[in-house]
Amino acid sequence: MLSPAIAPLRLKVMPSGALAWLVPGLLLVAWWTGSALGWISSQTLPPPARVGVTLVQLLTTASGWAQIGISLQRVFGGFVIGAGLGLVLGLAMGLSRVVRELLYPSFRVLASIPLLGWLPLLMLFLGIGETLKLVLIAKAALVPVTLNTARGIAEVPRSQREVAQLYGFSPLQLLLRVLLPAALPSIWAGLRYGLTSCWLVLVLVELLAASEGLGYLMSNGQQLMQMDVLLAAVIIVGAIGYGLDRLLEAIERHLLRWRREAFA
Amino acid sequence: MSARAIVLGLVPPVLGLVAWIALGNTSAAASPLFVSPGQVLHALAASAAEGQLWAATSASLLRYLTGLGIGVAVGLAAGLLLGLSRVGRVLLQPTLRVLQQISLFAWVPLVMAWFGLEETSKIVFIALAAFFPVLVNTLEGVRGVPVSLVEVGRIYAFSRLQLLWRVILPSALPSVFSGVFLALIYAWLATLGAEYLLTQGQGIGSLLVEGQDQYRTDQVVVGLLLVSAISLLLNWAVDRLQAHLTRWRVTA
Repeated sequence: MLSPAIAPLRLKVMPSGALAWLVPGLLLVAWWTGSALGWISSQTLPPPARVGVTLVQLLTTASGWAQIGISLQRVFGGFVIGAGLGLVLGLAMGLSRVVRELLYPSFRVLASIPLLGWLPLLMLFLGIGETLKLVLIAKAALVPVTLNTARGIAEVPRSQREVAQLYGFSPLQLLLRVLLPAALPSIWAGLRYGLTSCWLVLVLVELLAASEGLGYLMSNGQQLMQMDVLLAAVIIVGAIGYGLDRLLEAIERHLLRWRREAFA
Repeated sequence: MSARAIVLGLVPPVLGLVAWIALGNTSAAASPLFVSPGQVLHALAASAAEGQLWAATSASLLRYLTGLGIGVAVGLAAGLLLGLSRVGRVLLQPTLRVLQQISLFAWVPLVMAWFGLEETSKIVFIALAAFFPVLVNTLEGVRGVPVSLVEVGRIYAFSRLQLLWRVILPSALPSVFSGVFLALIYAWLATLGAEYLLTQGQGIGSLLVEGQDQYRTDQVVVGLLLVSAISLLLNWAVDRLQAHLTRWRVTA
């Protein structure tokens, strides 16, 4: 399959919709055929129709929505707590050198210890209830939001601050009208990465310790050999993860449109 | 680093340690879950002397390196093939992008269902965690090779293999490396995750789960220290490698 001509950039074609769907389509046909002819045992991979039916059931019944709702609630709860704390911490670190020197080294060390390392200790002290999930998900958002906010604020050009001083801005005006807008791209990158991490952590926590939610559906489906439930839950997790990221990307484009106009 | 910065940076950990020791003199120490720093050190020394610490660490690291090796190799090969073939890229890239969106740990039950509850599943999962970042970054690296470089290669009448080895790979290398660096970190997280979810066999994760099941806080803290040490070492190594790499690029 090695074409002698490396596809140079000028030959770059946008994958057309039809072509992009070819491989998944072929896989689906192979899956369907294999299931129909009994080549693939339903224990390994249930027929696509059954996964489809389960997926529709999850998405159309109240009990299915309850599981999805619980997962979303956990993610947003943890994300709001973690991102809120991260914004405050990041602002403090970005604005004050003393705070930065005081907290940054410890924060870096704590940030590079994976969440998974904390998990057993937290389980001992917090049990496996809702608190544990919120703490872990909040921590997943806290680290990227703090670091990116601190960097964004600290990197605002001095000249911009001086202009604000010339205009006699109050500290609050300086923050709201100069520092935050200038640091927004960096802060937003932190928020976006934080939300993605939250979703990743949610799945892990629900797999390990939950009696409801999408992760629980997966581990339960795997234990009870209900592969259709497992696969349907995986599809929903993937779709929501993708959707959340695209949503933040769209908001980012909207929020930062003034920047683009400046260079138009 | 000024002296002031070092002193300030040391304040939180010292305060934390003091608070931990002070807790030992309050009613909190009566809880069966409470351990003092001394007890943790004692547990650390004991499990090191019994060889338990080393057995768990070596089992985890062996698993990590095996999965990492497989994932990086397959990711590199797939990235090169896809990057070099336009047909393959147009056909497969959308599918891969969708697969990548699936939260890493969502693969675990699937891998368990398909590969069982033993060592194979752990290795497959770690390899999967390493595979995606290498694939994506290799693909980007190959696609970013400047046309002019390829044309020079053609003027010299390079064979396909020479073109790959002398032009494409060196040019794509920085991007490939950043994929490998990500894989180093992801595979380590996947190692821990796999050991938590598949509790059979030895490893640092199993040590932690065992300590948690038996309410042995000292063992859990020892495990946490071990995880922290390896994670910090890994992050430090990646930072150093990255710095080294960019230095090489600057001199180039």
